[in-house]
Amino acid sequence: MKIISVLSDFSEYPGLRHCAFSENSGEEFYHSVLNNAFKEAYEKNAKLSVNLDNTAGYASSFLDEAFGNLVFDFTLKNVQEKVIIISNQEPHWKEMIEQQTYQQWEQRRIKGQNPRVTKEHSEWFRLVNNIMVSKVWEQPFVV
Amino acid sequence: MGTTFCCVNIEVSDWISIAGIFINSALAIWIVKKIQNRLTNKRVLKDHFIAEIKEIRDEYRCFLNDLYASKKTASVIIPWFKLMNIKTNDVLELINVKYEIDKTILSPYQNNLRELITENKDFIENYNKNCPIVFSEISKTQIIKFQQDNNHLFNEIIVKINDEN
Repeated sequence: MKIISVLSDFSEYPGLRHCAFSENSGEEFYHSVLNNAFKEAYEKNAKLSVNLDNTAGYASSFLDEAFGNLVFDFTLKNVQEKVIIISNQEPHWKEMIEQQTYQQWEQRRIKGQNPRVTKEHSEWFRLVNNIMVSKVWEQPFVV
Repeated sequence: MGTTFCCVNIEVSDWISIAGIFINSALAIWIVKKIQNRLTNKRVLKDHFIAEIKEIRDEYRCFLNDLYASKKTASVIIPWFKLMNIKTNDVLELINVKYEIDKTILSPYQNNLRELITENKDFIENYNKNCPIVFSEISKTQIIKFQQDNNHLFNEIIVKINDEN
């Protein structure tokens, strides 16, 4: 199992949804940590445990953006199979991500409503016809 | 077969009756004391939980008053919600076990209010500035409406605790 934690792999102070509005945003977390961690777990056929505890707290938009992008790039089925969310301090987050974020972003993925990025990111992974493809999939949205 | 006590002849059956009276009295006193203690314990526990709920309500009120008065920066708002949620969850968990009151009853305060604030335009635009957030009149109205719609929840919990046997 691959284990990551927002506190030790990203920041004690997670921000808001997009890089344009805050440091340590959900967008940043996804592109700098989560996307690659999932890709590694997927290729090793391992689970990915994401620990949300012990940070200073979250805005729902941070988590929605990070885990939503995961579903968009790797599909709901794969994310549900591989990702284990740990949120003992605030169990609500696990519930929100699994019951709302996953479903909403899977709908976005099916409808082809691409995610917004608000700064330039280096290449990231996306599953295309079950093949892992790395490229810059989106260009910054001007806010 | 009786004994003489103060010029009164008391039969064995009388002694048995007298003993019965003493035993019954002692038993009655013991039961009353036991029930009294139990009721007192229940009351003390209820008062304790009611006080905890009132404290949570007051902390939310105080926090929202500070928001209206533009006294809070974004950097303290999210951690405040986290700490309040942990505290509220602890109390609600115990109340749920003891009185079977729904532990998600304060979910509007724990989740919807946080979402209302952190998704607010004024909050997002001022997030990076690290200065107190000045909410627009429209935002303030939304927050006031939230309070009006949900303030009753605290009283509901207090009534439910109080009504429990």
